[in-house]
Amino acid sequence: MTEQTRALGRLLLTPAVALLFVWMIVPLGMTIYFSSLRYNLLNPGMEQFVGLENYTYFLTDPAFLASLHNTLVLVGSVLAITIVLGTLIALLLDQVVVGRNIVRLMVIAPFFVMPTVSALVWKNLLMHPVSGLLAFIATSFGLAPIDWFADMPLLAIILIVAWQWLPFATLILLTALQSLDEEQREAAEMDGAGALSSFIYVTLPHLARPITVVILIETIFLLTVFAEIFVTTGGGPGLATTNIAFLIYAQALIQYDVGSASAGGMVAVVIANIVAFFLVRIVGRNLEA
Amino acid sequence: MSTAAAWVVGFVIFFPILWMILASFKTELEAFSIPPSFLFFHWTLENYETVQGRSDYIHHAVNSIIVAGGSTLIAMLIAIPAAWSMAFAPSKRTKDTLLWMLSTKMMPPVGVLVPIYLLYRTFGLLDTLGGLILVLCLGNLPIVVWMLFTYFKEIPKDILEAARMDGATVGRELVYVLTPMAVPGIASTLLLNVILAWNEAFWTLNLSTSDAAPLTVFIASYSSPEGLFWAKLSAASTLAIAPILVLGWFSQRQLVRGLTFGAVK
Repeated sequence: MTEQTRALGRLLLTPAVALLFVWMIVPLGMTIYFSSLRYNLLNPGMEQFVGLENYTYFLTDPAFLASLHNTLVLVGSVLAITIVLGTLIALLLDQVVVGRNIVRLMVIAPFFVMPTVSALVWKNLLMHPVSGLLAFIATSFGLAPIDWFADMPLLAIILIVAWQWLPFATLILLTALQSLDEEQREAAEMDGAGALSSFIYVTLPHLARPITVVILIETIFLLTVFAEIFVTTGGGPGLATTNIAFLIYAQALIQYDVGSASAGGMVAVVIANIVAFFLVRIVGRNLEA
Repeated sequence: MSTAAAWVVGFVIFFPILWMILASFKTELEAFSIPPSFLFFHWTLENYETVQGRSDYIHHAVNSIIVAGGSTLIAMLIAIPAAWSMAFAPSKRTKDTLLWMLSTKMMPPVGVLVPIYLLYRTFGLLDTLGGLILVLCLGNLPIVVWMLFTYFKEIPKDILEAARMDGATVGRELVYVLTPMAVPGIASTLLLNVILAWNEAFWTLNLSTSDAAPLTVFIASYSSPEGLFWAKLSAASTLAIAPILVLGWFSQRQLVRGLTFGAVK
């Protein structure tokens, strides 16, 4: 490679790196700065340095513990649902299926629906306690219909978000399955392995890495679920569906408490970074190969 | 056997979308009635007419097109040279640069909501198309660079060397050799990014209200408790997701590559 090419390479790379650097550093720096101030937009000009007070306030606020709990339940449940169902559906679609392409289109479709649409369609058309389809199905079987957003609001959100992310898990696991060497599976069968043991010893280890990738990427996005909560429950009733992302939003743009919201923002950044650390390592290992 | 099971599963997963599309052709009364009618109702187009006429649907759809298209095009203009550089003129730091770019995508948007909101307020960017384009472009830039990089990486280097031997300059090489081979990758990246930007619902909900509001925000306005207009909600939603559903179906393969940063192929 000539010196000229190398110089050109640097030149072409610079705009992207510079923009991303500014995009990362400036807001992050401001968040850190604001998090050390008592700063409410309703009292402009009253900013005052308070050190770590906002962090103490944010982390000891009962709302934080509630929202942390909700965040973990939401992320954990959606992961469990999408990984288990996603694996099963991927295995199913990997069989000989007549019209597989059409089935695959139907399975993937929810991923392309914008979050505000899926949330409102589920909330109204499906989960409405009187006129929703689920209520109709329940009463047809002689069961009492569930008032989803009053009685189990967090579960309702979990179902909506799981429906949105199931296609992602399924599609990635299916892609991974299809790259599993047919010979490997045949060899296992030749050795007398049954369907179950060939699944446990051949297929599952092959899926370990894609499953890890799905878990990490979904976690990054699930930690900041926002629109689904914004249009259905607004975080309520009470704090029942407030996750960390929604709590920070509420403190920033409803209570105008810039200091506390910024401290919360930093907490969210730290949590996301723990997940990102592992994801970046896995992807980095793949770059070498 | 597996065919039947697969079709049942596919149908169940797709059903909410189907149900919404059906509801969009019902009258408000039928959309709300119990027992619900599945196919034998009075099919009507009145919801589409109302959505069109009364709620300024076109205005928000145009916003969506401008924001998704604009942010994608600008991101591509910045990302293509960068990805080219990392794929064909790599340095010792290329891998670190790539991983660093990935890590910027891991930053939760809510962590920088306050400063972005305040900056936008100061500079008059709230509820402007330019403001939305800027934030979506920067937010998706890492994914765009990554996807392009994985595609460019697959172009055999020998071809470039042959071109260089023949005395092609870097500029000619870029235009006549590389670009034709890169077109499929660029097209896939473009497609996926338009989908992501079209459906983005954190920044659009927080930074726009009416003038610049894209369809995500417009649909959210149906969430008010008094507004139980299911048929109209369904019609507006169907219109909002239809184009992207079609694009999405074309780009399933790229979806895997783009969203896993090449970790699963």
